[in-house]
Amino acid sequence: MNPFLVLNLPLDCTDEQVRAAYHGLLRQHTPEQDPAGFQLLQEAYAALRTESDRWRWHLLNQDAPAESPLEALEAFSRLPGRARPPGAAAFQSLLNSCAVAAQRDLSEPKKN
Amino acid sequence: MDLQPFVSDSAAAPVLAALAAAKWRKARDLAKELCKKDRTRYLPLLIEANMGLARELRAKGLTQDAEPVLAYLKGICPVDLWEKLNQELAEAPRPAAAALPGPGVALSGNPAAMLASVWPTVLEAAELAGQSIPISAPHWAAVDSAVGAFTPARKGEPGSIDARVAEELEVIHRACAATGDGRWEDAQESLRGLPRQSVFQHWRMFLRGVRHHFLCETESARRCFATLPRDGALARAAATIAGEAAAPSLTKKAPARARADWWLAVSGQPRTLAVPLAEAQLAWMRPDVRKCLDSLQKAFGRQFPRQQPDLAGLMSDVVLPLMPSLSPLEDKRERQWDRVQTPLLQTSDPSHVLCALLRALCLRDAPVLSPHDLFNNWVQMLSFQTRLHGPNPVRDGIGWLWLGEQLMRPLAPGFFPASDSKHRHGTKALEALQKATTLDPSNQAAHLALLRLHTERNEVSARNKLLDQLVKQFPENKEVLMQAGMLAAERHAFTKALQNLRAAQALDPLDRDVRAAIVSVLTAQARELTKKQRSAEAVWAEIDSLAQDAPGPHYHALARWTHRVRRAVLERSDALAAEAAALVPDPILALFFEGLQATICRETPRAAHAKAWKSAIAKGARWPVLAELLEAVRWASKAKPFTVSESKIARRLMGEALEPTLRLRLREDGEGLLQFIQNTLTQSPPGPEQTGIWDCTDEVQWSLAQALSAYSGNAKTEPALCLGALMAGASGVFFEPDALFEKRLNDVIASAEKKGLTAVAEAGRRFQARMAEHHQETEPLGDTFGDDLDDWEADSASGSAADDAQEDLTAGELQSLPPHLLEILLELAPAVIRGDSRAVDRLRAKALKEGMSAALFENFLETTPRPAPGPGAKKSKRFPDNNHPELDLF
Repeated sequence: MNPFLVLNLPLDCTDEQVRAAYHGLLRQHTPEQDPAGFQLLQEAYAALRTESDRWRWHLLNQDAPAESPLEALEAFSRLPGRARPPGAAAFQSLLNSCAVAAQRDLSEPKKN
Repeated sequence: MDLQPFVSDSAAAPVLAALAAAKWRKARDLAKELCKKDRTRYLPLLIEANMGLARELRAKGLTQDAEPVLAYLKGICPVDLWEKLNQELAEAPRPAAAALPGPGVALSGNPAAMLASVWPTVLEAAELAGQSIPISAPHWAAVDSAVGAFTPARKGEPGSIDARVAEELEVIHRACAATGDGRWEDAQESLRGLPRQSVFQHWRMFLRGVRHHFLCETESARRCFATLPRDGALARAAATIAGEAAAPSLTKKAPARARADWWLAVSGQPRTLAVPLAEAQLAWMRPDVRKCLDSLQKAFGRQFPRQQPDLAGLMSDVVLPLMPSLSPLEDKRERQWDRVQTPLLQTSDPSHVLCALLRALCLRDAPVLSPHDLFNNWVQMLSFQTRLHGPNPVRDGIGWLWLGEQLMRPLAPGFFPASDSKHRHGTKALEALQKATTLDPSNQAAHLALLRLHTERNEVSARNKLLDQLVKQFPENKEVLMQAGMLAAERHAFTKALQNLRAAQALDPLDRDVRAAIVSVLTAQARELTKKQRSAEAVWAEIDSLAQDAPGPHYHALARWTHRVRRAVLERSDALAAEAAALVPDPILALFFEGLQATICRETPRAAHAKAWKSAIAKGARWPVLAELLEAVRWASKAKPFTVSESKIARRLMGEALEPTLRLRLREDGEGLLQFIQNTLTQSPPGPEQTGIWDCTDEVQWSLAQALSAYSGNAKTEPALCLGALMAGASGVFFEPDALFEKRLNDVIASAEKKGLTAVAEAGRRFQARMAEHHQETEPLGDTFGDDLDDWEADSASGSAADDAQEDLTAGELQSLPPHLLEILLELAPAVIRGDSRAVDRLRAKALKEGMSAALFENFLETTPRPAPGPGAKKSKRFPDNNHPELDLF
């Protein structure tokens, strides 16, 4: 995943900004409570530590973040510090969808 | 409409279930049947079913299909309800969005029906829970559906179970609303009112897990979610929220619009992006790249595609063809990309688009683009970077370094090490690396790449000058110190060499390469001391201690022994020979190594060596021994690159050992032969600096191909040898198996299976798989074959500036050729690669007849890379002239 997005930094950020963003997020994503997020932060920090690291990533990275636009959106929303409560309506909509899907699975066990 | 009156009506239950599951047609048909019995009572069910169907059809953009449903509804609906529905449908989304079902329509069914259909089961579950009796999966599903309907239940008489459960449901709804809004304390406060034996208790754990998740306490969230009933609605919701790939979630099953809505809401992005992103997703999966790009442009405006750390940049990274396609779907998308670039430039900011496209093109196609195109496109991309982000020497230095590294790479290695190209374009690589070091003098990687290039181009003076400068500029760079150490060793300044290498070792004590370099220098020093009749025992002792875990420790010991043998007095030679025999698995290896080392040390081998060698190979030559010899050459040429004469000697010795092996073991040990080919000739080819192993492998390939050519058609009688012939013949960068080749291979495998030669059949299948894999890997190269003569010209680059100038001249000549002559050359190249001498002769005659100069034809012929020979190919010389003078660096 794009380390600039992980640390929520602009392209022209400084070493100081990188360090500050990393330490700020590290407080929320500790290795005990969020090992995956912590790992992601480590990788992002290693990729952006110096100016040449940042430009190298910007010029030469070849990793597609996901296989489709919505998978990329999902990955984006899972980045450390990105996820926030979605609002009552969206939350209810999710629960509603899951309830219907569970009911369907129960009534049509052969299909699953 | 209120469907609560139907809760206790068992006849209406199937209709309610169908309505809850959004199965509108089924609900309508069932309701019609009920209406025939009691129209007044069951009409609300028929109306609900038809309303649901009308909404769904309109949401899918099927307006015409919705018309008769609406007309029917008008006849049966109460006036106020009809007006309400009409108003709702009039506010329907735009046509583009209408194709995408909204979450409300597609997912939820009818909430009132959902609640009504499950309410009796919920009450039953509540009673069981009150008595602490375990409840079943259908009960859990009903409870979750009751909550998921998000419709208030009708409260019964105070004190009744209906009233209690309805109150608890209300509590859960309040807690869900608070949790969705991130009001954690309110949610907690609401849940305090939930009795301990409530049937909704598991919702408390779920909502707690959601709170932990959004507070980034994923481990706590995981523990909470782990307690939820498996496969239920809550486990599904938890999987969606926490991204548990293994659990069923919203991710894969839900419509694109619902997914977009959810993820946008969770990431705090504008919800207006949901429709275009969902459209983009659907178009991407079809695939329709043009439509996908249009939708993404709708979402992000003219700034898409671009390379920025934001959502638009992320989407650009998804859709831009950054990697070679790996599936038919990706192939389709890639083909469509060619058609969408021009319209994209018209509708987006051209600087952003061109920058993004050129970057993607160069990164993905660097191995197959001609050096000229790669250079121009990348430089253009860097100029766009400057335009978009301002001048920056560090960024440009990195860009030029990448370009230089690409241009100094050899072409992709083939199935067998047959390519003799060294750099794709040495002069342009030099230009790029010099630019990189000038722009950013602190870029150590660029300096080191330049140093490597000077070395490979045999520019000794430039290399030495640069190295001296680097040692001063970067005294703490391990690579620089290593290079300086090796250079000093070449100049026989061993003390200085060891000083640099030990400084490098101090920087990284665990680096095995540094340790191997120290061993190599110490070995040279010991040799020097022995030559000067001085004691080298202390140095040898140090080598022994260092070589313990260095690669090939027995080779070090062997080197030491052979040195002693040559220096030993006659009476000790038997004892030393016994010592050598204990060191290596076969005496042939010891004698081979002795001969090799005598050559490397520029000394005459001991008098008895030749006789012993001949006697040993006549008696004991076997395939595994040959493999050992190749391994010894590999090690020796890695420790110290071979000169031409050393390489020739190694090749001669290898040929001498191969001859009796072919004579004695070819028919006797077919399986050993196949294993030998698999283990040695089909290994990854060595780097271009390892001339020794290169030449020896070539020798083995030639001789094997010749010996085996007689058996290439004997699939039935000699399957092992026939397979060996096919394997030895399938060499070269551009070898492409044709139908005949594949048929022969299949015949061999079948014949081996029939004869019960399982090892041979297995070897054949492995070879077949490897060929298929190799063919796939080199396909892009094959596609461009003949399209770009610059490639051919660059393939033959020998590395020196003079040769580069020659290359440019040839390319100029080729480009000025009339098309019909160019066609002949394009036909010629594959013929040369196939080793088809008849076709070459025919094309030569044709070209000369058409007016091409003989010199140009021969020049093209010489610069076309040749594979190792196929069966039946004739070998012109036993020891061909050295084709790698630039490798003779030391």
